[in-house]
Amino acid sequence: MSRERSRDARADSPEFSGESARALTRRRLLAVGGAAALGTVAGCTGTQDESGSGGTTARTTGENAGNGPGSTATTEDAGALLGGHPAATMLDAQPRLGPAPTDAEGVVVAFEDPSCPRCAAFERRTVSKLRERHPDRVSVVFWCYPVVYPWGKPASQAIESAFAREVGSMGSGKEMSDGTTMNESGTTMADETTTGGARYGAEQGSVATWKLIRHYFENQSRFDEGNVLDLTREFLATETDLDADAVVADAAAKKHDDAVQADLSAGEEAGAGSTTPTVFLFRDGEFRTSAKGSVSFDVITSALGL
Amino acid sequence: MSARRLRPRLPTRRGDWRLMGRTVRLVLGVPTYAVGALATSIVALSAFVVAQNFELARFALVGPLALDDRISILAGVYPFLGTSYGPVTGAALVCVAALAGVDAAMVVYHFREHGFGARESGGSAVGLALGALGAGCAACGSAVLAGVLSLFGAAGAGTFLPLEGLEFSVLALATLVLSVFWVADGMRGGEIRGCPVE
Repeated sequence: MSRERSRDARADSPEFSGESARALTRRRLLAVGGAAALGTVAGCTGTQDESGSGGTTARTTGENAGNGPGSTATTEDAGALLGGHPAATMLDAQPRLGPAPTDAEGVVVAFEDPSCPRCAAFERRTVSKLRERHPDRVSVVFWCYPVVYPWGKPASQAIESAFAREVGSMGSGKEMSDGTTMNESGTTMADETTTGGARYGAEQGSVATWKLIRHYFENQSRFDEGNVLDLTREFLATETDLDADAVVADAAAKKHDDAVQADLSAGEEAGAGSTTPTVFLFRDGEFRTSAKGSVSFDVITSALGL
Repeated sequence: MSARRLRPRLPTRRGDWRLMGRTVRLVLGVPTYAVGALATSIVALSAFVVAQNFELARFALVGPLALDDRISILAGVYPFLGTSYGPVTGAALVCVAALAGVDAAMVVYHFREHGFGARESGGSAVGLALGALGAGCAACGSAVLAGVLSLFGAAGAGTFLPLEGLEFSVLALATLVLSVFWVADGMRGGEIRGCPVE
């Protein structure tokens, strides 16, 4: 199942034209931007294990470390750097927190369902602490994996739609509404927004998408299959700059269903089964272990050796 | 054994609960059985939680980790030491494990002192099986339950249970209580450490 197809479908969208149209897919955005960024950060990246297994990941140094500009790897490279694990495919095409997977010491790949109470606990207790204490060392990658309650499926469609619009609509060097700056490699400079005292790392230009994800987790009891898209529209319209009607229309039409199905397929292939959250942990390019349930910050950091 | 004897009794009277409490107290008053009950409870709880996170537990034991990291990971999969279980689910799991330990100690005592009854041992086995099922549901709502229900083409049906899988832990607790009662009832009229069971 190709996530590429769903990204390319955005070409029909009226807000895309010329230069923007070339950045229709997240993968292409990163690949093209990465090539451009390569020249600007040449010499800033560390050594990279050519074998793609067991070596150190490419790193940025200095002020940009972990904030995106040094992310020069394509999606395929990221997967190869993480040992070709099924959970590590297409990481650049997922909402994430912190540095790019290729630039991070530790990578936490989490398959989560917006409707899953334990996922909400995981986000609240574990992910927030990872962001607070290791904003530049750990990359947290979010996969939509709607297998729990029925409303998780339309919610996942909305997340994918929001992400596609948000990431796809950002041009090179565009100043975003929240003050973050999208650079040429398709990643944002560090977002200094704080929530609950936790410093947010780079959000890959998906600030509104993350707001939506957190909104689902924080208000799970309010949602059901019948009202989730209406409430989503209301939230997006009041709390984000995204075109709420367009996002909800895309979600209702399952415009990005390929992306949702790709996430489900990746989860199944990785062995997530019907359990959420399921997390896969990588350190310095190597798969370490997987964990099921809302495991604690200490478990994650101990498993990653941080 | 008469047909009347085979019919399961339920602890419906206050005296039945008193009998249970007294019998448990007398059996666990023997240090060997107290230690056995505690060990069984820990093993049962470990089995429940490790079943949910076998990969993680294996990595903690054999992975390239420092000792404190191993301990941190292993402790983190248990209720209240980690964050995998909510307070209600965690309490239910601990109760099931504790009751499983008590039940096992009583079954062993009864077996050694008075012979073994099929009814009592059957109740214990069902209680432990339901405890494992409850643990599976509790971790995130689906693991073991989905595996079991998928046999009947109903994977995911566990999420439609009103208590989101906690039902199995409650059922396990009820079954273990019944098992403890039946074992205690089976010892009625006998003696434990010189004290009459009645």
